[in-house]
Amino acid sequence: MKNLDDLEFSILFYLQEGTQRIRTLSSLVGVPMSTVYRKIGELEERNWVNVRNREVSLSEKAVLLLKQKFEVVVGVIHVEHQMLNKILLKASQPSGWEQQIKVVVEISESESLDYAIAAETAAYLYTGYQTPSACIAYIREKDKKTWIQFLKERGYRQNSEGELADIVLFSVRSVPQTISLNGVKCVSRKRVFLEGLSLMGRGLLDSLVISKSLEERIFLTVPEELTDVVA
Amino acid sequence: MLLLDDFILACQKSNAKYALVGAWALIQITRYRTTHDVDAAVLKTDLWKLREKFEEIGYFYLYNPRLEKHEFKHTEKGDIDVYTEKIGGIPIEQLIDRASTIVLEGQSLRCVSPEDLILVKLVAGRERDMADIAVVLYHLIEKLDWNYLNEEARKLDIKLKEGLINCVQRLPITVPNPPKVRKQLTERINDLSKS
Repeated sequence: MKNLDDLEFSILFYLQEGTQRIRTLSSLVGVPMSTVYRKIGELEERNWVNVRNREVSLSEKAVLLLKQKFEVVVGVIHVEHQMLNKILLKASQPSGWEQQIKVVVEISESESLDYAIAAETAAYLYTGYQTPSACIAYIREKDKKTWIQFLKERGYRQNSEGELADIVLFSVRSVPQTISLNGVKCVSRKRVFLEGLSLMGRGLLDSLVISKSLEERIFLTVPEELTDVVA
Repeated sequence: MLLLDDFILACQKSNAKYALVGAWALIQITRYRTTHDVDAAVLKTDLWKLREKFEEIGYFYLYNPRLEKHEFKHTEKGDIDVYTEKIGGIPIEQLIDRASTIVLEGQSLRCVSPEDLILVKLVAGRERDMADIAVVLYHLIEKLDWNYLNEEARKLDIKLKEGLINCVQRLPITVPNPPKVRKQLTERINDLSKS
């Protein structure tokens, strides 16, 4: 999937005014209905819009992002784009996220493959707040086959429908800059902050915790609070 | 020792009837993300025994009248929040009666039913609650007692359909093909929920 294009930005712009019919959007942006359908489909896949009975509205994620600072929104679009190509893997035996990180670090060290732990996994390593459900990491696109091969040798398989993955790998051209946390290479706090915003849900909670150390402010659209030790 | 271990041990020693409510209740469905806090429904008659056990292991007690919750606070470990009247409008007795036992790493835990978990989290309506509901729906949508959900949502005056569809937008990144799953779940919610 490619990055957001001009037409998609135009559609998002008009949706700020409220729910629109596809026919109306077609005349507002000046392209055929078939093109609008395609673009709406792409925006829906990325969770930017909702479509019901041929009516399109901004998703809660889009509404949340529109309330943030411009630099934050640009950052979220950037990291979201890098998280689109993902590989989901399931361990043969139930084991915790710590074990998955161990496997990723071992493969990286033995095969000289680069990685960067990201999203909820990095958030936990920084904050100790919400336990991650999986090991999430960036890898280089050119190393993708090698990673899959070595993970399969260690008993991992491609995720099936109805399951939650144990390892999520984002394949990117160049792995983001990292910081070592107890020997584990993690993306920066700022990046974890942006990834959380992009992912919503509990990701937003990670962003809230990280925002305290970055002195960033998130403008929330639904109530949220930090009720325990971190608060 | 984790807050959860402290809570379970205190309940066992005081013979208190309880049901875990917060993110820990999700453990019955899948190993998903949790914070350190423990939220639980406890019978009012068991509260004093529980309080005694917590104070023995270094917790201090506070009552939060606004949220009608009993807070057991530990300076290093965090908070255990206990509710003895209602959670999200559902009576504690009902939550405890419908709770089920699960075994986690050799330890028995009582957790509220998935339907009650959805309802109390829908009423709370925070990001974390909606994300947790998305995980429950992903795993159990066809197994839920929709008659109970619809009936209780009506009593609680919750817009069930709208609320659940919003939750589905918070599917975790570990789900394969989220757009497809979002669409499928939304269609099923439209079929199964009445309000």
